[in-house]
Amino acid sequence: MSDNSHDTAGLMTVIQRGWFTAGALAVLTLVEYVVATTVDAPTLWLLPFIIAKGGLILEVFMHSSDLKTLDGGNA
Amino acid sequence: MAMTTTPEAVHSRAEATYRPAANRLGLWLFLASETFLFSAFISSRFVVSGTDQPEHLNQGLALLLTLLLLWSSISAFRAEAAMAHDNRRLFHREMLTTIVLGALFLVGVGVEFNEALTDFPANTIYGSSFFMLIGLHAFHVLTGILALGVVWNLGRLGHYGSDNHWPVEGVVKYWHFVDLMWVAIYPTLYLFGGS
Repeated sequence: MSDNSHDTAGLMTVIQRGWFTAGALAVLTLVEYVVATTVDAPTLWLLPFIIAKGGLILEVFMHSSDLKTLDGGNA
Repeated sequence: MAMTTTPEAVHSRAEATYRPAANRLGLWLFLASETFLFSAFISSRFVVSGTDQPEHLNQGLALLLTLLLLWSSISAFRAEAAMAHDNRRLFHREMLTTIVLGALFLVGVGVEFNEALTDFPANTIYGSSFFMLIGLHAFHVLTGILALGVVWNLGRLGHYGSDNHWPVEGVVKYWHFVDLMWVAIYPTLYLFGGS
């Protein structure tokens, strides 16, 4: 029982992290759109948005940090 | 409990530890090769037409598609987390949500293609880049939906669990990669030229 509640709490923590990330991605996307439609020649202004959004997806959603341990242990 | 130390048992334990790491490395290498493919297509857009873009781009639809794909990413993330914690009900719901959102994305791309065929046909400079990039990405979305469907069905039949959810992790990672590529494709085709 306590294992189960601990597991549920762990799941909620992970999911909460996902929601924060999704919220950040949504805000970045909307600001990116506003910048693109209000600034002349916005290419350079948009690059930080691409990097930030890509970094968030890679790190939080794709667990890119796991790459560091791939060749450890038995691999 | 006494630990089994037969060669078979030792091999089995080593395999169980080694296999997920090998799978992950293989998937990351595959995604890296896919990144080269998308990079070539994205760079070709700038080579042939700089940052010029036609006036009749449907910005509203493109923004909606971006948000749809983003929503599907969080549902995929929730599905993976659910299976990792043995929550099958949430897994089913979130996998189905991801599949439906992916299908809606493809419908939106169909609408966009229909409009684009009259505004900037594929034989124009921008049109060729547009149809190549969006088409390549849409094909990845389609294959992602098929893979998600297979994993969802196997999960529904009782496969996978917290100690064996690599297929869920793999297909969800692929889905996030598709989203990641859209993060670059969206501004490349719709935003870099300004309003």
